Amino acid sequence: MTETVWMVGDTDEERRRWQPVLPPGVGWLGPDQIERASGAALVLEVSLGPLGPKRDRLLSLRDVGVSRIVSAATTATIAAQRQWLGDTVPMTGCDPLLMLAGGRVQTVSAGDHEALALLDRIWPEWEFTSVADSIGMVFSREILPIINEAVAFFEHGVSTEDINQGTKLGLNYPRGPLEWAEMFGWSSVYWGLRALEDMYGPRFRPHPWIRRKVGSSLLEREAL
Amino acid sequence: MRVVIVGSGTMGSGIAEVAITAGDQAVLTDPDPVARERARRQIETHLARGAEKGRITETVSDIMARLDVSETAPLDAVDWVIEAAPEDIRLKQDLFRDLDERYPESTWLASNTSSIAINTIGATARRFPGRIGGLHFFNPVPRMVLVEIVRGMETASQYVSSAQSLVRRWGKTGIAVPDRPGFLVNRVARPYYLEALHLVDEAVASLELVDAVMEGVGFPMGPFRVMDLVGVDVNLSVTRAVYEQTAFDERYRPHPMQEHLVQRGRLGRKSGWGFYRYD
Repeated sequence: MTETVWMVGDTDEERRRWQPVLPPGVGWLGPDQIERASGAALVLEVSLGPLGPKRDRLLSLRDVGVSRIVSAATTATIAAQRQWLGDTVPMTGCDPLLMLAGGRVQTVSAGDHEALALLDRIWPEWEFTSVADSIGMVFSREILPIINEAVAFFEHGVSTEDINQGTKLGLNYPRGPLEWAEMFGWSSVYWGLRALEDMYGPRFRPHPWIRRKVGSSLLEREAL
Repeated sequence: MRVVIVGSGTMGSGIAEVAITAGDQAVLTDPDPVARERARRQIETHLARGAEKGRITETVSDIMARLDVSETAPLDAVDWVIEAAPEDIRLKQDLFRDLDERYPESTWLASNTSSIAINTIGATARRFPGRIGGLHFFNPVPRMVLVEIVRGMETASQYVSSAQSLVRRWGKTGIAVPDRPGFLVNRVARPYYLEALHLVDEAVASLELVDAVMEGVGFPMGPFRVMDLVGVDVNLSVTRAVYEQTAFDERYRPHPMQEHLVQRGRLGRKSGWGFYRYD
């Protein structure tokens, strides 16, 4: 792969989580390193958090002249993100939780052929398939409410181990719900659920345990 | 150890098979003589198959000698009564009231219900409520390792520890769970099916793609394949039970697409057509 490709996130913790998935030749940029993406063929913006900082990162990427952006569609649709950028940069949606999970069949939305061709070259072992432009696409929309349900059992005295073991033995799930949550990070779980709640209603409302875990009221007031 | 199992359907006969294979005495009861005979034959066939594959060390006849299939259950020297009757609230309440009146306090009474609250099942059994709880086995019982040990409001802590010992003896892993609708496993799994139905209904993705995405991260079957396997009607009835018992919490509202399939007799593999066709 000769094109310059970067992945952009918000925190060191995110960088650590993404290291195992980063293919050779794709570097990681934090929010204060975005200038290095100048002229890149493709940038993947994979952070899950409040929308304000995400919008600012996308605007910075536009301003440094990146050619294409593949952006997490977990907290905002690609149609909404295009409104931020004024249709100046071709954008494609991705599901970062599905990428972290190493899903063999990846979902993208609103993508152009060039972006899909680049993704195919970066991750040849994955199959990228288009779905409708929607919050959470398929995997995030499935796995996040499963985690939300599982968390409710904490308050009834069921241990993390029993919750994970119960779902693996009873349902043959490849990981327990709380193992998924640890893989994604609780902050990502929270922001993913909040976006789904905004779009689809209260069935996705993050459980109070998750809200407490990430200090949600503080996070949201700080993001204003 | 002597165990009485009430109800000789798939679950009851599976529990009896596990008990006698582990060396315990089991009395499998059912009012229907045809069902009793079918259960006996089914257990014997399974054991014979296990013997062929070298999974059991005793002879089939030695193991079967520990099984009694009968219309009525003994009252003396019974350690456990495990109810595996159809999922009918009134039937189970009547059964537990009767069991509670007839058995001494030392006999543990368990329901294998998958979807009815233990508090509801035991509501009218008031002699010794501390000895009543759930033992939720999974189908097929001989193969599935997990057992949910369900604590009702008045279930004693000794019930949980005795249940742990019992299922461990039988080679199973017991997990103590609260008496919440759907318990742990069926509750946590609801979004897997319901969100999949929403995704297809909203044309986000095809059902084949939803299955492929989930299978691509290691789920053995996507949600639509699972619903077809267990029965679209069975899956819907679990969702309905959770929905009703959570005072109609929106999270568990059954999806019309699933209801329409059931109305049309598209029940999954067993009817040759559910979400997929099985010609």
